Amino acid sequence: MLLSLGLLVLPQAAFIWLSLHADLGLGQISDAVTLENYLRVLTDPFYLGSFWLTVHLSAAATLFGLLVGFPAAYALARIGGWIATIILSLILTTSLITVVVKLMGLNIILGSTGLINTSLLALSITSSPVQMINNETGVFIGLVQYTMPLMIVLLFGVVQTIPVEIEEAAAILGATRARTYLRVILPNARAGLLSSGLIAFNMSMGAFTSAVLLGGGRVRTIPVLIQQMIIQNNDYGKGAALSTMLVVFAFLLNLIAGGLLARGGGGQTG
Amino acid sequence: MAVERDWNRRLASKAILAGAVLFLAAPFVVVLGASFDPATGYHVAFPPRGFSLASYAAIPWKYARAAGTSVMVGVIVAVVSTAIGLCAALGLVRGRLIGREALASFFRMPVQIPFVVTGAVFLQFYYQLASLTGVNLLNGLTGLIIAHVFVAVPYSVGAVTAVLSRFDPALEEAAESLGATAWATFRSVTLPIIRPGVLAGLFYAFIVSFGDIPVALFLAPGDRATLPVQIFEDMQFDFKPSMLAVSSLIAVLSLAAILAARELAGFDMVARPAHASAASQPSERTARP
Amino acid sequence: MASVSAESISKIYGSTRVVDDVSLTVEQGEFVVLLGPSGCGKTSTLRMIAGFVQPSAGRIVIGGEDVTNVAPRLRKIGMVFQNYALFPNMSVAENIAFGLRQQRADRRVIQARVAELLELIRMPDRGASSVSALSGGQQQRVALARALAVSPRVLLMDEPLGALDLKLREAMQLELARIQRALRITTILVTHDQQEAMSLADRIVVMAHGRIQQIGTPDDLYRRPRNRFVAEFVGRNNILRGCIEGAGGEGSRLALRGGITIPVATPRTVASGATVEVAIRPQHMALCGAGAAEGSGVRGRIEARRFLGTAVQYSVRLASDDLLLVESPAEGDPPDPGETVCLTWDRHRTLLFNAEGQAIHDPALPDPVLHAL
Ligand SMILES: Nc1ncnc2c1ncn2[C@@H]1O[C@H](COP(=O)(O)OP(=O)(O)O)[C@@H](O)[C@H]1O
Ligand SMILES: [Mg+2]
Repeated sequence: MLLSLGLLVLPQAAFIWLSLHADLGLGQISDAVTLENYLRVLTDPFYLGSFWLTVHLSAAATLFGLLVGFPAAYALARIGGWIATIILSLILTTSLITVVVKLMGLNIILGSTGLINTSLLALSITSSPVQMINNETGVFIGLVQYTMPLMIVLLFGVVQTIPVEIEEAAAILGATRARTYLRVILPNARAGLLSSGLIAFNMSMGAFTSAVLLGGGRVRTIPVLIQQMIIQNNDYGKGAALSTMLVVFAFLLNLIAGGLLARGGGGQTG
Repeated sequence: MAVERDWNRRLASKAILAGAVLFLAAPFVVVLGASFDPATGYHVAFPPRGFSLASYAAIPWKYARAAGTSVMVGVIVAVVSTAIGLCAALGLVRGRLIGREALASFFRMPVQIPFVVTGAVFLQFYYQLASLTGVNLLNGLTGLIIAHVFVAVPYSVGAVTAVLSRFDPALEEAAESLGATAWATFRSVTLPIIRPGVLAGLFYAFIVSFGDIPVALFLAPGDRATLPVQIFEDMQFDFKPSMLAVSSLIAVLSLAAILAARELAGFDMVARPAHASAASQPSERTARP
Repeated sequence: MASVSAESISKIYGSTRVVDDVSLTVEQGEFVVLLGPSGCGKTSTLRMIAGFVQPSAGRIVIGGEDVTNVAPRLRKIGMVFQNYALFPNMSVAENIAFGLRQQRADRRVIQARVAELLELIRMPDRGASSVSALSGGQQQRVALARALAVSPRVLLMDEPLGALDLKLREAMQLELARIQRALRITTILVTHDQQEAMSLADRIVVMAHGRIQQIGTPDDLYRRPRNRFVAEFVGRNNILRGCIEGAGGEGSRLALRGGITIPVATPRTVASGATVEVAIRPQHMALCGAGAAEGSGVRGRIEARRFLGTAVQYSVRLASDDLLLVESPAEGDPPDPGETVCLTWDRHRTLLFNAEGQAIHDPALPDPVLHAL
């Protein structure tokens, strides 16, 4: 018991200790100018632009993920049985295989000589290849690929808690399928949508590999910048400041969303 | 009639589901297919223009070495973080600790920190440690393993907790009333019953370690790159069809390992994906108004 | 085998006393049932005897040895848990052998003992079965065999039949009684089901609010409840509260609300004007036509009627607004709801409680127990 208590506290203590050391490191690199680093990061339009880029790409990927993920999860949950189990395992499996494999595939599909562009050209839909990688579109697609499997798994759990009977009740009362979907199913899944969306958004905000490999180094989201600052520029000060910003932003967002969930979650279950 | 109608219901959702599955599976299909193309240049062809194992034969030795590194790190991380996870879960589920809730959310914290930041923080920490004590954890793989344990622990805790919280404490009392010592009870009753959770913890910790790029990019020594990092770097600077072959092997072996884990360990990934149980706490909290 | 005593044990959680100064002694080979409503502290008491809960005060003595600070595994007790707590990772035989394994008994000894117990629970060829493949009743018997395999000094059971359906529960009661008698093992069983307690126990300990209300044989409790709680909990009783009118003795009457009075037999020690409660069992009352003699009974209107098989149960509303349950044999043409009837009973079969709910006995009056026979 005591042993497990000790081990229980250890990672926590380690993290707090480490975060302190990160700040110390920041101070040591440029002794008294700790705040100046933050100031520079917060006022420089380049970093602010990068921040905005990261947020809007993550938001777009999350939104798209929810838009596709929810109906998919809904269909799965309602299909049920072993078919659903197999499909869900398949979906989850795609997220368990290391992301580079997936990104390599996406590069092949989306590249200028890739599957989509050769098809488009062959069908004369476009006259020149559509640029889908090494830009924001590529990163967006990568983020959707990255977050969607978990999103579907989480939303599957959410839909499972909504009994089919309430859909049937709505149908008996004369609601159309579309109305049932909008007025009965979605409101009941609101808390689940919000929390799944939050998880996907967090994942996207921190996504590094997808941003590098599909952005071709040109789409500089915050995680990409952090790595570049530290490894290529040896600028630990700015790297640490960006890291802190990212973590604080995610933390505040979770706090706000947590509050929203706690209030909104209770009101709509009736 | 009824069955037919049933299949025709929710068609729009089902179409979206089919699209999503296709979208998620496509990259793997393409990599696998392209790996059999006979060309050995820089050009990638899908669908393949023939069937050849040329790209497999051309796999350089460095990938095997990187795979060895990845597997070794992954196994150590899985064992260590699951051991910690087991103790932590026992404490969280059983312990009459004050602030259990707070501790539980502490344990989920590493999940919320982007891997890039974790990598950066550990790198800083190891530099500090080296300048203070002369111990440089960045020389070998120890530094990477410690950081991976840090990010993997929440998954192990989640997996073990999920099973442990359904474990009936009366089973342990029954063993005790029959004269079993605490250790005998744990070994012959508790552990066998929570085994699926422990195996799931091992599995997910391994997956987290094996799949990671950002942390390993910061912390693995240049000559000991992990497999994903090796591919990541070569993809940017030195693409060759043999990488398609390596990636195909990773995908196929991962799939086999996942299926085998399901069969042998008997845990149901879908019922409790570690990430979900580690991260989805907010929704659980609001589920009870 | 050994006797078990709890000496003034209490358990306090936070500021609530869930077990309050409980003392009881179970003799060697005796079958004692702890009976009480849910939440009254039965489980806590049993778990203190088992050693899973440390008493806040008092001592536990097993076989003359103070075991208050002895770990459960060293107490040599057998316990059957409410949901059996069979080890799902082991076969039936492995479950039964578990305790002997802990003692590092010889393999052949274990095998022989397991076979013996499988015989005892009448499942001789199910040793290799997985426990999840068994029915509820079979699981129950395996749990019992597992507890008995180590030849414990005492057998403790917490609601062992609670998870079974009615028919099976009755069959298992007989089975339990048979095995307990065959082994003459000191046994304490916890239940909230008074019928189960009556059919199994040598003696019953009735608990409420963490305290012992009465200890006695089933017969004792039924016929001589010490207080109103026991009277109502063990079997059914109609309770009528009112004021004594007239001198004590055979001729006194009890004034209920609404100006009606009923005949009661009170000891001379009860003064006129005293507030008392009288308890009458439903099956000790008889229904007669509305025209029956006014003095010997009380009039009421039937509100509801339920057929119980051999008997019919009526809910009868008196003018005092009291609602009485009456059970009479199902024969002839039973009166319908809405009809006015007259209720009569033998005054000597009623019980009397003072305003605090304590039984009032009068040595001068005929013994209600003998009278009822
Ligand atoms: N570990 C505990 N902590 C706090 N209260 C408890 C604990 N165990 C039991 N109680 C309380 O003690 C009372 C008696 O419980 P219990 O002995 O289980 O009753 P019974 O078995 O008669 O239903 C209940 O009100 C219960 O809530
Ligand atoms: Mg109980």
